[in-house]
Amino acid sequence: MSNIIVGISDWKVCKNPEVLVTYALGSCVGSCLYDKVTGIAGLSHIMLPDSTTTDGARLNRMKFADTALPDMLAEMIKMGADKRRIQAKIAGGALMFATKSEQFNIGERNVAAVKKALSALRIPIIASDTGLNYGRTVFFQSADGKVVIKSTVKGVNIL
Amino acid sequence: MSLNGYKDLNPVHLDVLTEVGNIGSGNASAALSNLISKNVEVEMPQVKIVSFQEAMDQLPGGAEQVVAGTMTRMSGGMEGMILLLMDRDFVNTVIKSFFGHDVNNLLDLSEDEDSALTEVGNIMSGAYVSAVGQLSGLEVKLESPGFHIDMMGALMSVPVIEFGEVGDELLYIDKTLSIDGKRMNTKLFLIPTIESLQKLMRELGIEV
Repeated sequence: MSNIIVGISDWKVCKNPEVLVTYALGSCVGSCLYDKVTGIAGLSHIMLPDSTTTDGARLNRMKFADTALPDMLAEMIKMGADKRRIQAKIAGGALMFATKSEQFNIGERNVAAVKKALSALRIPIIASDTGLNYGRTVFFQSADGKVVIKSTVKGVNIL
Repeated sequence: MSLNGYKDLNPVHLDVLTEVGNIGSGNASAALSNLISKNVEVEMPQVKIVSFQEAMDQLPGGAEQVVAGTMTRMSGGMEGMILLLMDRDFVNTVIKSFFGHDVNNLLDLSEDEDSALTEVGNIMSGAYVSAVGQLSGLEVKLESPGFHIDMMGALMSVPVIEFGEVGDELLYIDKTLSIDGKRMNTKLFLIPTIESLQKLMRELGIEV
């Protein structure tokens, strides 16, 4: 069985036992939503916090935290997941280059926006590995809900 | 004004950008050559307009390859950034010429070695924009570069996110380097904003 790849500005859902993977998250944030009873899992890879600052006509809803997460949740529910059981684990949101003009930390803003969007959807975040200054690759196993995070500097972290 | 997005660039614009990239990166590689006393050659640059996903997929060695990167912001006459992504072979060549020893793992670099690589990014970016400036008359200012060692995809996400605010595509002029005849998986990207491209074309007397 091959992994299902989630690109940048993308989300995908799957069912036990498939594995979702997204590579090299920098300041982007990966959100893993899971219903452990049905084994339905969704992984979203957002780039930016807020869709309302962008021209609606060319809006790619999968790019932004505030649009991607409700859409992905709706798809999971359509597949048979029960919203009351869904929990989230999140990763990413790093600051890759600490230069003078990077104070307006987009990684931090992405993490805050994902937290806000999940809170509005009443999805609890049960684990996270966010911030700092390194890239992360995320493997999300729908068989057991485990999130395996690989990074260059910190090795493997399992949520 | 019809040059409002990357899709509006016509073949003349693309030729001009290729030439700008050629002169700029030629100067940048000459600076590198002086610095490390080795023969540095550059292939004809390529101007690419790609989706963010394509930008990630086209990275040599894949998104997870570990590289040393410098990111230098441009302002003034041209806005955007210059990204230098250095693979292990390239880093080894540079460090060996500066410090006389080999680098086995990019994660084991010392602070002095990090600084030396940052300086390489600084000098190459400076040489690049000074050539672009001479060609166009635009005065481009550079911030001091940021330096980081990580997965290539994570470093590339920095320009991608920044340009994600205004669209779904990225334009870059990309150049592959060879040192003493050996082709490196090292990339030098010039990533200008669309407004800067308009300005550049006007300065060069080309219809936009």
